Amino acid sequence: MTSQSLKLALNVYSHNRSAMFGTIVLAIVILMALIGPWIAPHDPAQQFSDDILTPPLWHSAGDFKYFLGTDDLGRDLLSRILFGARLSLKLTLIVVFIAALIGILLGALTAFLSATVRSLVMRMMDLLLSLPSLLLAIAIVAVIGPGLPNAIYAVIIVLIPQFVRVTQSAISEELSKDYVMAAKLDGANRTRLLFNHVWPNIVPAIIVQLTFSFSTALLDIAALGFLGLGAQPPMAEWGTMLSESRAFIQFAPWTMTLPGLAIFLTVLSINLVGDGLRDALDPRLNR
Amino acid sequence: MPLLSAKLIRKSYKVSNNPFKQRYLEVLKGISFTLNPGQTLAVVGESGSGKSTLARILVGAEQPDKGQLFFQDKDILQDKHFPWYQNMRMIFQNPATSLNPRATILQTLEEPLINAGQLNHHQRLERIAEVLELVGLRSEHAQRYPHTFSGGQRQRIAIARALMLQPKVIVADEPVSALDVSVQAQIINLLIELQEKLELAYVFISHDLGLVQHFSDKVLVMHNGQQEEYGRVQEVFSQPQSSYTIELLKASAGYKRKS
Amino acid sequence: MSLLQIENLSVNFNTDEGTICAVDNVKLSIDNGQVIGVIGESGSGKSVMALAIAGLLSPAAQMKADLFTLDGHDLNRMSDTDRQKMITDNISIIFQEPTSSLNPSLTIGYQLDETIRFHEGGNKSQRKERAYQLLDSVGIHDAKRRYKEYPHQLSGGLNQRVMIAIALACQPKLLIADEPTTALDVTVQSQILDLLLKLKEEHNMALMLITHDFSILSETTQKVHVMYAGQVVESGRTYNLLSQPYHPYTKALLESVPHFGMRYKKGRRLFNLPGSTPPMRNLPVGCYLGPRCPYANKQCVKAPELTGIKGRRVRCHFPLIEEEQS
Repeated sequence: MTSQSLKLALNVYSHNRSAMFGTIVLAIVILMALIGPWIAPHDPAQQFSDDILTPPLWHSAGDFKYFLGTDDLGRDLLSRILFGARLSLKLTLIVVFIAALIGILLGALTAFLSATVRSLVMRMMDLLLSLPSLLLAIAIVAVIGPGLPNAIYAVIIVLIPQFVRVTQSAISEELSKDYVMAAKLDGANRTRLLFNHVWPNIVPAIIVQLTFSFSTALLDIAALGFLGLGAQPPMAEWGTMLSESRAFIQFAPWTMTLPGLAIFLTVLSINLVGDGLRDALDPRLNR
Repeated sequence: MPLLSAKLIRKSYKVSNNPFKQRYLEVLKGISFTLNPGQTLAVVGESGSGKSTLARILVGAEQPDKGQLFFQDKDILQDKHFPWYQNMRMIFQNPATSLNPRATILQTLEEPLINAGQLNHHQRLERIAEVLELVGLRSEHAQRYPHTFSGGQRQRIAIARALMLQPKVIVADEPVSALDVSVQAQIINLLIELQEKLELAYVFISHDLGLVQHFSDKVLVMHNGQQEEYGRVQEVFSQPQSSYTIELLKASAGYKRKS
Repeated sequence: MSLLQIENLSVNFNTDEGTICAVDNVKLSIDNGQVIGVIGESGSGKSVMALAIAGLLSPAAQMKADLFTLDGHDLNRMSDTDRQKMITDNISIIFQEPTSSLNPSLTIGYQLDETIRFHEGGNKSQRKERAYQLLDSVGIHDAKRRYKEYPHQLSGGLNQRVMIAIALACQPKLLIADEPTTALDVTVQSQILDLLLKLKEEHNMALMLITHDFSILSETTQKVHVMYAGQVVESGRTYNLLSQPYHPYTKALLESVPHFGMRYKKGRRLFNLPGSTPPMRNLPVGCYLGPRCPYANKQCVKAPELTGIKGRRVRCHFPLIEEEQS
């Protein structure tokens, strides 16, 4: 990205209301995750056996001690959600980073392959993409066994094809453009062509894919946790919290809605940011 | 001695990928011409006539199946190490797509110089400023991005890029047809001026016979990959031999002669 | 009596960067069976004007005209639906890109039939007969085969003929052709122009030819309007205007294109205007051509009015008329 087009993109982005909303929500979530351990009123694993299923503060039976109430084991929900944010964001970041690294490299490599090998690789990626990401993740965990590390591997594997696909299609789209042909006629070799000329033009597409992968990863990790295949209790993970409180949805709805709301808001804000980025980085706006 | 001469250039493309039923489309069926320094050869034909394929072959972007291409009496199709980009350059039809949208003019113009590897950074900047001035732009323009220029200015930049390495031949593929009428003349004038100054040879691909007549010494008329007619512009246009050329000439002059 | 009479037609678009005036007080009249030309570069407002006349502007555009009569009816005093009906019954328009103006997933026949059903009705076989007849009249002689084909199976020239057939289906009194030949090959261009003129005679239509190419207009039209930055800068009889342009912009358009059939000395420079067409959202003060005009002086910071000179109308403080006398 160049400073000038960055300025333009920022201008478009800051005029996009939903993207700004997403940014603010996401910023709050990230801030919470960062300072969570210091502002959390309790240890997330500590069980206050006298105060099980305390409703949140705004409820008539609420208690000032537990701002968002407690769960069935008497653990403070606010603290668990804060620690959960930390955990979820950390995991997602790791997962997306590794998946993006592998996926982008693979996608870029296809540009150097012969047409036959390339189409073979891409058909394999299509095969992986044709399965719903969650289903694939479940299948992988089923094979390698449940648990948080395995869930992470599974989600990484699920995300890789998306990056390969996006990188490959962006590169092949750019390669067919006149300016690439012009650069080729300037004497640029294939590596130079790819890194100096094509790469800056596909960065926006990859940034957008990154944000969407971020939300997919967050959701999949939570879903695996919910299914008991990912993070295991008593870990404060949003998906796991949902599954633990499933039995109490009738009489203690907050135990389920509050972690659910946290997942919903985070994913929504990431998607809004992604949409905003896609609009702002669209090169057609570079009049 | 001609600068560039082509002998019976042939090219066909595979049109079906079925390994049992391979079909080929012949896009160039034996094209020959010669071009002297400082001269302009116009290539005239309709869409699908093969003129763009010929252009790509002339700048080394594609290899013909058969035929010879002599540049300064050397068959450059046989020479694997011939530096095409230092001798024959191309100007594309649409400057909006032929310039990298995310590269400054400086980066774009520096590319051929870096690849040729003869100049240091300071010398490159000097050369860029010199060429920008040659095409009627200022050296400050180098810091800007393509989208901040008008269509005519962008085509000037594309011309500057083609001139960076002091080539002998410039292949211009419909260089003005994407531009506004009142800007076309500026670019044509610039091309004429550069030809006079630098003794450039042009291969000028166009469908506009008025422009061809104004601009060229020789003309090559193509139709479905076939070389219909080749010769001096005045002769071909005053005494056309092939029926296709006659039809083309009639169509271009039609609305002057009729009624 | 004129078929179409328009006075002070303006079309504005509201954008983030303020109001853009794409068409600026254009006055225009076309008689029955007349051929007029509108010439201008991209962004001159000529296409927006055509869309305004054909009632096809997007809802974002604001159009107003002091006078807008069609075939003697005052369209300004009609309800929206009546006006729309009046326009669709009498005006047809064809565009530059025939292949993208046709729906790629419907057959030629279906698209033609749709228009015939809307304007004439009739049962299926009557409509089919009419479609064959229309295709035949635009020079598609294997109509029965083409009727069943899709646009991508036809060449650009044939698709343009189909567009013309669809335009003729409503028996328009005015056919607007917006750059009808620009996307086509040279040899096909003249065939399409011939066809348009032939049909104009046969159907006694008026024809409005919009183009950027003077060579198309010179022998086909009786009157020409030259547009620049949304304004008409010169209008008059085609022959007079081409042989002696009064407006510097007309002169530039004429002389910047080398004409086929004329002999030029090798290396002769073409007349040209410096710079490029100003963007609509950033027009110069006064005369819009001012900054590019070789004849401009101080007075040109005042916007010139369209004034009548020798049977022509010119928007210039210094029409090139003086040169003639000296």
